[in-house]
Amino acid sequence: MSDNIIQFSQVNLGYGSKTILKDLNFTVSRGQYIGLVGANGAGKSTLLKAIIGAIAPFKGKISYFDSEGREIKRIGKLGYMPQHQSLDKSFPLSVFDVVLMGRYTMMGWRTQKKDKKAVLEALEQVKMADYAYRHISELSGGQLQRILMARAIVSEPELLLLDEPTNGMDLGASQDTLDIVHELHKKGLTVIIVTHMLDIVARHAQTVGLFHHHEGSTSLKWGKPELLLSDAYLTELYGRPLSFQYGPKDKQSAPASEPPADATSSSAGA
Amino acid sequence: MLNFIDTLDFTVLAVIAASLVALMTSYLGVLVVLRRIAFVGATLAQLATAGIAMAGLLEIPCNLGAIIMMLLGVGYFAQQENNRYRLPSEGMIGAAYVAAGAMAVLFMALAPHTDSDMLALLFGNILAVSAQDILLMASALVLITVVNILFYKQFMLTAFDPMMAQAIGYKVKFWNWLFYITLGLAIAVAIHTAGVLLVFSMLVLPPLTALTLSRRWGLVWIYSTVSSLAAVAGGVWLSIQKDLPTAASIIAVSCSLFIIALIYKKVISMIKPN
Repeated sequence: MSDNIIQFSQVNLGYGSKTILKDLNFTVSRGQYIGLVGANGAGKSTLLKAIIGAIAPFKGKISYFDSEGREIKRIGKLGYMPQHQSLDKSFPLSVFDVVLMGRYTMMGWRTQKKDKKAVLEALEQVKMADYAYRHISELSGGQLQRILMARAIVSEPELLLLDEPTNGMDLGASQDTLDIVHELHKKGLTVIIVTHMLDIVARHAQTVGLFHHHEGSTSLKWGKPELLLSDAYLTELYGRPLSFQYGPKDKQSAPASEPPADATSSSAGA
Repeated sequence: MLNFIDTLDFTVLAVIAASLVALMTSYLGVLVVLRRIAFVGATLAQLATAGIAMAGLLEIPCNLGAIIMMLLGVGYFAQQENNRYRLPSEGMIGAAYVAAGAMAVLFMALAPHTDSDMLALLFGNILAVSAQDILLMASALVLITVVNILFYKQFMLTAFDPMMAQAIGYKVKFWNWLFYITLGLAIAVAIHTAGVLLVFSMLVLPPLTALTLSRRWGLVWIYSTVSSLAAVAGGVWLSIQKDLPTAASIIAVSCSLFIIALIYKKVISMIKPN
């Protein structure tokens, strides 16, 4: 089995004529759990968009690899969880319909029994099975976030991208969601999570990517959470004195494997 | 086939033609309303009208003129996805709308035989529909229906959550483009029979009626189709009974159905608050 799943080589990203992230060089290894942290507008979601192919690099190359190490056009089984605010609740769709979307590329023209079973199991995992046939407008922000989690995992992905997954969730639902991600990660799933919750990164991630936006440009620094989630880095990151109590990793949440060496030193400077 | 259609009474032909327009637009209209691009529908209709006027000027078939302009419009709207200058999309659509309206007027003014027949072509005369028009619309309906059934998932997901669509490998720009092509085709073949106002109203009113009555995708599609066919039947009957313009009568009935749906929904919510 190959180690790498994604590789950024000299990549510049942005919108229109504006470059937001410059000279990105890093590799994501299979089975890695990465946390992306930074102030609003620093480019975290831009990086996710580039990984899913929603925006093309201005410069450089993003490479994807299968489990045999062969370069492929895109990750076949990719779970993506956006922020729930991006969805339009006026669509005539039930919770079941939305979760089923996660299996669209796996299913034929009609919904098969196995698709229905997979959707209901995913809803069971996020404790939303009772809401399967409710309209999406009847859900709170936190409930909708859980539905999007179910949609992200229903395709049995090999790479899971989460954009502020616990946004709007209560404490219990947040923990449930993170537990699901942790269980999937233990089974070998690669996880990239964008979040403002530093404790999530501290407890679960093996590698952290710090986005530092300063005077119109962003630098991206990689490292282990215990090194980068320091008061000095956070103060520099958010532009005001900040303190974060880095505690020992929850044993249950501890990563199953060591962070790969090549992800700790790459940085992108503007 | 053409001979058989020619033997039918003109009111029967009008009902068939309006029903074909209704069937073409009722499903597409649901996605138009949900994508919040109703004004795009109006602009494509206006562009098709300009195409008919251009056809009069160049002395080419009307439908060809409408399709050429529609394709230009589809290219323009598809390009909006790459709006590098970050201009408000409503403004860009509005610019296309007024440009199309001005083009229609200028082409008509320049055409060698601008007369009441040309005005009828531009604003539609559903009672004067020909057998060829009906066959063309029926063919377009079959094509649009097949494309929308085959690619239902792609059209739905790219409308509802384009980022997710991209993540699972759908080419969002391509599917948006194909959707605009089917929408433009429906409008282009319907416009010179039904006119701008009727086509636009059928893209918007029946889907709104359906979305008022249901929050399930399958039912919304059925209600939209049924309410647009009911508007056609009621409108043609009203126009014959009261000697009123047919297209305006169909729109009036369609508006009434939407208002009735709103009142029904209000009453139901008062009886059953939850």
